[in-house]
Amino acid sequence: MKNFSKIALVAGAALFSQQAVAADVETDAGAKIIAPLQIANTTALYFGTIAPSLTADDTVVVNAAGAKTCGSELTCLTDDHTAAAFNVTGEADHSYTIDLPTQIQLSNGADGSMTVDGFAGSQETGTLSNGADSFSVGGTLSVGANQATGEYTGTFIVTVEYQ
Amino acid sequence: MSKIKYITLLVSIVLSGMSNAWAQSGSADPEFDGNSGAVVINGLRVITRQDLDFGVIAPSLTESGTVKVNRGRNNSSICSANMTCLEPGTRARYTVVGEPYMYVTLSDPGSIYIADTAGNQMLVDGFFGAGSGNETRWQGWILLRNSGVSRPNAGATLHVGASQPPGTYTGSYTISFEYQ
Repeated sequence: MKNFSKIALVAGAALFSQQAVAADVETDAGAKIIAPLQIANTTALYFGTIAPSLTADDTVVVNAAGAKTCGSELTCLTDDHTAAAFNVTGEADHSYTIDLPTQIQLSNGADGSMTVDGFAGSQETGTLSNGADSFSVGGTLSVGANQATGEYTGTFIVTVEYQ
Repeated sequence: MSKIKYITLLVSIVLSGMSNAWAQSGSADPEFDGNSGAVVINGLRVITRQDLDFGVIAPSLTESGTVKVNRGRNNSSICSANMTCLEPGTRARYTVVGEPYMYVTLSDPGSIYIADTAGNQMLVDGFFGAGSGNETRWQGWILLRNSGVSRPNAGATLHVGASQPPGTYTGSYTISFEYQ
């Protein structure tokens, strides 16, 4: 009889223990992925054809709206200048910031170089209405006295980032 | 017939004894009978106070990356340099109630996938390892203090693919809690 009691007790305790020793809980996990921000350059920043002064430095400014201001010491021979233009795509209705360089160098591939600075955008931030937006960028070209002839090229980086 | 009745009576007595043991389980130091006994402790109960959320993420076009939700801090996530985390994630938060002073082992599923409605998936792993500065403190168990309550948290790492399709990704996972 005593043994029977012990067996029954152990079995009973084991039953309760099974209920007590473990518990599981289910948890939700989630994330929202939005469309990555993409930028494409559709038009280059171009200052046109310029005849430098033999004796004085001066500048050519193409602003973000595409208007050109030619320094008095220079002769701007063509009217084909353009502001740089960019298209931005991403998540609809999200905003982004625009980061422009401070200064870059253009080179004629030989011994000539010119500086472009004063980069200015048509906007400092943008909003992706319907998932798209666009903006333009101008800059200031510094032309030296008796600047070496040639076709000057260079690149600059524009960075956009979600706010 | 007489023998069957006798055994039934014994069982009845034994169960009555167990009932007493259960009622005494509130004692932190129960006494044992010399020949027989039982310790019945409070059952484990667990609730999720906060789900795991990795926030809003803008993936890279060309590179995969990760988002780590910190187990140790709320509203804190670490985003790979090649991605943008627009809204911070939140860690999962639990409340565990059980027997005071007992140790409880936590088991996570290792890894799961969360998916959007189109079937695109992302891997989630490192449930208790995520979070700077917390990994070395985590030993896979918690101690139920004198109140019998503990509130552990879980972080995790989300693996985001290059050009991961936009969408709302959801999933679920099970954490098992067991007395040591």
